[in-house]
Amino acid sequence: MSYYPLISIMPKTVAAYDADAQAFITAAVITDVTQQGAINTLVLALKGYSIWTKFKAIYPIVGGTASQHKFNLKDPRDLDVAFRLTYATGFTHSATGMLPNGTSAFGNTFLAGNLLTVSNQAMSYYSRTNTSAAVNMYEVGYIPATIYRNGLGVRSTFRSVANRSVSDIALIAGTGAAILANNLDSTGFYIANRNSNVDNKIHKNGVIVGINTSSIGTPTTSSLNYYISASNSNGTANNFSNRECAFASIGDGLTDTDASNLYTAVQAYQTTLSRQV
Amino acid sequence: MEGRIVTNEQAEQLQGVFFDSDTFFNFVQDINDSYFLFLSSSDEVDIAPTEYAYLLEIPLSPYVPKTTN
Repeated sequence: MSYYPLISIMPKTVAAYDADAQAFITAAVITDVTQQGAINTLVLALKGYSIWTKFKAIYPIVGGTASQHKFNLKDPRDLDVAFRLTYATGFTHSATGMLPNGTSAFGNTFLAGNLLTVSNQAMSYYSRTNTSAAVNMYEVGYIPATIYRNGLGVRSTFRSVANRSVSDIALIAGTGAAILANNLDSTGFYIANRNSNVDNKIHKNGVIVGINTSSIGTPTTSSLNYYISASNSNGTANNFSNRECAFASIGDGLTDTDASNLYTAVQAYQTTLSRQV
Repeated sequence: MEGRIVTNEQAEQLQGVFFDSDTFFNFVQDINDSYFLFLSSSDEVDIAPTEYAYLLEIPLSPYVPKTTN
């Protein structure tokens, strides 16, 4: 008796990925099955936690090349309006992420500040590098004016913001609402989060490490684009970071539970890719 | 840190110019206002087949940043 006829009529097993995950996998030409699975699991987790819709841009930084790292998981079209990244010279791209040189490298998201509300936003950055900084370094953000800064710096001095003399601070800043938290290790997953003018928090690895309930005032929205691995200082890149980026996101403000869930999802993603810190 | 010194004219002409679909030149000035180009190993590979390959022949020079904060 032959079994071939039976085998031939059995349904073929095809890995069915979430449609958004598949769109990203196709656009970024992700051929590695482990990476494909990690992306799919990440998307399903963010949707399961009901935070997927809160993001304007999610950069999974997967694949190992500039042409793969640039895509926005939320809209993986190769267009400025889809907030895919372009890079200034100085990034080293590899399987573990994209490493800026701290001097000239930054990513332009084309995501303008006025597409979000200053008092309702979250920026995240997964840093794989532990460095101190004798100067200001931003991992995400823009600075439309000296007294109004909107960014995340995971370990820096920020002397001009808070007259600090040490180099171990994480920060999100508005007009008068900088969060300064001692940080002796710049590796980890950071979220700078605002849910209102008086609800400003820094999360590191799922734990709240800084709170500021001072009002950020009513800063005007800015047409400046968010930069990754630097700040956009009135149209000029500045405050360059030298920390390898393995994930970044920009979106609406997150609840404490949302932020914790985001860390859980991102850390699982990094672990699957064997590049977690 | 070391980078490639370019002329002011080169920096002005190439600043913001894409050498492939993803990456553009970004020059920075050192403490003496000389323009430097810093290229990663990824950048060098991508520039090599382009019309800008001549930039790879510029020798590396020590870079002293301006003091900012």
